[in-house]
Amino acid sequence: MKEDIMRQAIGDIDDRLIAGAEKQPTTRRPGISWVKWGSIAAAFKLAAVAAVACLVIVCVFAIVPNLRKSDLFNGNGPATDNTAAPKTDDETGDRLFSWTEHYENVLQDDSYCHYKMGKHIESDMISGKICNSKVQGGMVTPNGWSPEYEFDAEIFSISGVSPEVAVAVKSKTLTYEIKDDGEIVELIFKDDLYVMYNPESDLTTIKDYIVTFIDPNPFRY
Amino acid sequence: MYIANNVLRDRLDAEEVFNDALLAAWNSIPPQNPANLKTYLGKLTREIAINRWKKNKRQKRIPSEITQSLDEIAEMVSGGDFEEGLEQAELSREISRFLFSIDETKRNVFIRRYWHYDSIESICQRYGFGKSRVLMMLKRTRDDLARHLKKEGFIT
Repeated sequence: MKEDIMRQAIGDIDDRLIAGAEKQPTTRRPGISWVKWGSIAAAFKLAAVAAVACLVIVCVFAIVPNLRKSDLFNGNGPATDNTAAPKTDDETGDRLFSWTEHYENVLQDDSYCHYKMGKHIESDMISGKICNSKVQGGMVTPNGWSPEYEFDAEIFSISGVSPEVAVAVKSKTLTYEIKDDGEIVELIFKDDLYVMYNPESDLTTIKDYIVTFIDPNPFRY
Repeated sequence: MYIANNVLRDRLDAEEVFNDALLAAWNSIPPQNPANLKTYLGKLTREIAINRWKKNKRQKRIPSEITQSLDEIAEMVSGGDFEEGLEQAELSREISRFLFSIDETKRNVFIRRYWHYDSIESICQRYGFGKSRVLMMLKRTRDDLARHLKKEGFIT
């Protein structure tokens, strides 16, 4: 079988390659450097200050119910909200969520380039095609976002929702496939119909399609 | 020993395989004179472990990380056939040439997955990467290798 030929060929690669992979990497490793006690103490102080700041923000939301969650984020990254963990898999849709790393698509159209990616939407919810476009996709990390792939896209209006609030986009998107044993995932591109929303608008009409990120488990599905 | 464990996921089987590999090394040196004994032992262990896995699979015993790895390798070569009369040594040399030409981290992640049969989680822990990053890295390298082998005429 072809895969056997490939497997055996990989098995006989140059010894220097194998020895190279045996070495412990010098790249970023998780964990704490137990030597730098001063840094650890400073980190604890910063965490305490951050915790107090979060408490203040939560209190503000409690007092001012009309404050839009998108008001929190003014940068170029996707608008995210990790204050409420989803209760069921239906709430997370078909995307893998991680506060620190996840894939985002961006529309290459001047009218919608600032829209953020939401959840999958059923085709009976769309009312008419607006235009053709392209999407670029890439991973969002703490260092920012950069495109890794580009696909053709079609933009549709959503029934009962102004395009200034949100649109539906049909394109390929990167997603995960859980195998039958529930343990192994595969990264695949598949055609999808999903919401792209304007984070600056009132999101009440499409609140069910807003992505909620939970931290820190990247394997939540 | 961890290579055998990655493949077989059974401590007793892995220990037996490792002992077989040590015996095979003892019997083959000389005339073999490997420059890197650790790697030589690793290659022997890997082959013996895979043969044991195939035997276990026929007897429908516990699956392992190798199952998913083989699926991923199959995807790499699904688009064509190997050139007729291709020698495995030649293919190994070309794969080595390709691996030497790519970024060191991507290379090592590829080798940890398809030579050592490390799990994705174990690779994430080793390099401090998220799961999506490792999966994307492996997919890209597989696609690039398939393209390289097609371009060099190894896959028609």
